[in-house]
Amino acid sequence: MRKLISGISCIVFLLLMCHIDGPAELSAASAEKPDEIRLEYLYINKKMTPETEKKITLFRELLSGGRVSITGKIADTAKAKAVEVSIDNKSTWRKVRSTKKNTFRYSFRAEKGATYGLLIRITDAKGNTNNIENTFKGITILDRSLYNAVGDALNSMIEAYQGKALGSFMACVDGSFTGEKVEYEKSVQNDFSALNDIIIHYTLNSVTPDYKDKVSVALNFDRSYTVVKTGKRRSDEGSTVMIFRIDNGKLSLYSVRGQPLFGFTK
Amino acid sequence: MTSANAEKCLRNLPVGMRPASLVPLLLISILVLMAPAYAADNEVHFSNEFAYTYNDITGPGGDDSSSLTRGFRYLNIFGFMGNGTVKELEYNFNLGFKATDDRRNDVATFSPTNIQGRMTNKIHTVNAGDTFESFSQYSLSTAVKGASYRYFNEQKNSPEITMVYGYVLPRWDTIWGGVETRAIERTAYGMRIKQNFSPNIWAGISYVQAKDRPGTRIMSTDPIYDSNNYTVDAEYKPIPGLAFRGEFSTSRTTVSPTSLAAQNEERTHGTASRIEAVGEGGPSRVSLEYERVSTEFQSILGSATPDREKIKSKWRYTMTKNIMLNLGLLWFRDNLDGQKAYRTDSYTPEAGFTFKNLLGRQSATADLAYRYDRKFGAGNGSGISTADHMTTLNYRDRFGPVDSDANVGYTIYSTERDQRQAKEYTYNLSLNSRHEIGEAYVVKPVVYLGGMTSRDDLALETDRIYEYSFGMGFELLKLKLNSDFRIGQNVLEKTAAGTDNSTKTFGSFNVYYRPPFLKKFNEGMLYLRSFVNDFRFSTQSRSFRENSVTLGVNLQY
Repeated sequence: MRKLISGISCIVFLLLMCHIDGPAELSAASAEKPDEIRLEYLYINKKMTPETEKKITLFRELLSGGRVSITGKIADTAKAKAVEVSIDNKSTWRKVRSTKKNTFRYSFRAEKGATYGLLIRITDAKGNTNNIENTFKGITILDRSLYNAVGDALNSMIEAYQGKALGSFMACVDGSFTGEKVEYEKSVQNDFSALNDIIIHYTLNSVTPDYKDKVSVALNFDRSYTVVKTGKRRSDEGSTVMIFRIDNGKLSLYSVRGQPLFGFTK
Repeated sequence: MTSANAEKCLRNLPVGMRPASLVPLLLISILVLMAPAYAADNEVHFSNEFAYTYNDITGPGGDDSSSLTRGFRYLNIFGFMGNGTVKELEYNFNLGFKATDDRRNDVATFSPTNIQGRMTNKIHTVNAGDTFESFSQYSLSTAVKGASYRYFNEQKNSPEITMVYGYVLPRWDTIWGGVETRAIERTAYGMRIKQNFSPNIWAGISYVQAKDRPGTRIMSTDPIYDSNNYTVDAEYKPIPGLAFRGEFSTSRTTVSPTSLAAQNEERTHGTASRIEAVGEGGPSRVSLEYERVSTEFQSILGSATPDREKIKSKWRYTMTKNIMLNLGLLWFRDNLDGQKAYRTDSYTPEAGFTFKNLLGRQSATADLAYRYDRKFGAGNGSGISTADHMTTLNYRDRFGPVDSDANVGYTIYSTERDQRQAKEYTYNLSLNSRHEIGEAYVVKPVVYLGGMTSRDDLALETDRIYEYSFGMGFELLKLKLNSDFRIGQNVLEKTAAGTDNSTKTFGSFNVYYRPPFLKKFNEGMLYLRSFVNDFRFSTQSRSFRENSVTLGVNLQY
């Protein structure tokens, strides 16, 4: 049975892959300029950002020194004479130095709540330039702190959990949840069947980001609920650690360690 | 624990962890990190939230059932953070503490929450205090109290080398605190080297060790681990939109299950591996994942479910502009070494549709989902199988000024050999609206109706839950004052003998005000939160009422 499922899944996957086209923008761009001057890679705050990723949202406190850092490499098909960066949608350009290895680096101090239109212009010795529009990134610096964003994410989860809104609750759980999202959903659904009138209070102990794409959140909680089977009211308390994944300013639950706050009846 | 025991406990701590040596070290670290704050191109912020609460609990059932602490209680949360640049060095720091006399909020009256400092010159990065380095799923994804160092030269595309050392403790005052904050002393250290071979390929190799100190058990039955994980992980993107990811880890662990002499140490050796392919392009996103975690694999600092083999596939397909299809299949099984009497196979196929612009209504969105949960051998060693069906429908729409959100769910639980035969119906509807009165006022009425009926076909019993509430929000824009109230009832009706019916009548009232004198604070706000919950049970000795009023001030600068 297992082999059958594996086989079917692989065939389905391969069939689907055959029907997947590359992202439209990439195909169009490469069709226009086959030997174009182009970026080989671009890191924004040490995270590789593909050409297709146009919107980037960042928490200011996760920026080293409050600065957005940009590191790029120009493809070896061209030798850059000049590299310029604009962070205001082409209104002004700043020259940046490129190395012998065709790499360049630029950083700028970012303000809370601001949005920057990042573009990179590469010019070779003949005066040819790259397709500037392809390098566009809209970088938004969030107005709120990570601490508040963690509080908002937890409040959303607790509100959905208390209201037994399974869809809204699971929308706060990451697709790559380490304990298996479907299994977690079943555990939470089991809570909804077994318990009535759930009330949760919490206080945060620590909020520790990894400065990449995750934040570890330690918290104390107390909760009370009515056990449907017996009709009796119960209360308990504990502490837990939840790891959230940060994706473009949005937090979603990635992993749970210690005593579970949700999905504890199964 | 007696004070003598507590002293003994402190003496048992390693020199580096004793309060006398740690406090000056921490203070020096903090001062060093804060010193540059006075230079140019730097900024500091603080936040403080103080809340003073009065809780009143009346009725015979209050002591056993309420989650509130009686009387006046305070909670203060303070944070101090900053960042900036000094020459080539960029730094961030973050300090925080919490103070409370409510033991349900925290076991300690005063406790540090965050102590963290970070410096980087874009190539070398040092983090001290609260340190969170996530290597990979199986190796390290746990925050420690310690330090880490990272070397990465983006311009030279050098290897990214990360080293971390620290104590895996839930809180800072575990280090110097008393009996109530004790925890097993677990040391963690690890190293990872990651190399980007090209923009489309990277690979990483890591080693982590987690070691518990034997003398720090809280209970005699607490297991003590000494675990080593060696992990390799990689990602390859052959074409835009397609990515392959994989991870392999091996663990060597020594476990001392209890402090009893009769229990010998166990040595285990396990492996875990997973491979994932994700394809995205056009209207489709497809993922396929295979994972196998052996029975004896331990991931003390990472995350894994031992004794599991799993295949997961997902397909999201945008059929038309307004219709999206989601298909998924999860299969997993246990008993990889044949160590259990029965093997459990779990199959969870699921299908879902999202419809937008339903029936030509631009504001209408509907989600229809079905999940079949089939288990053979149900994991309880009895070989019993289960077959559960779950169907849900969510419909969101706007009718004139009213936004609506309706949910209906139907679940069938079926476990063979007459273990469980049950049906569950869930339904809820929330309506809310927003009305502006002139330019100065906004009112936001909210109505909620919901419930659940659960029918046990074997016991021939039915449980019914109803909840209804009405609320209103007010915004006084010129005064910068928001307020809301909500009243309602939650009813549990049961037919089983010897169980309790219950009714909770509840009400809440909140006010948030940003007065002009707090304008210089970014988030200066005064607030009042209050609620009443009145619980009535068939068994009157369980009935109680809880009232709570909180006054608070929140400042962020």
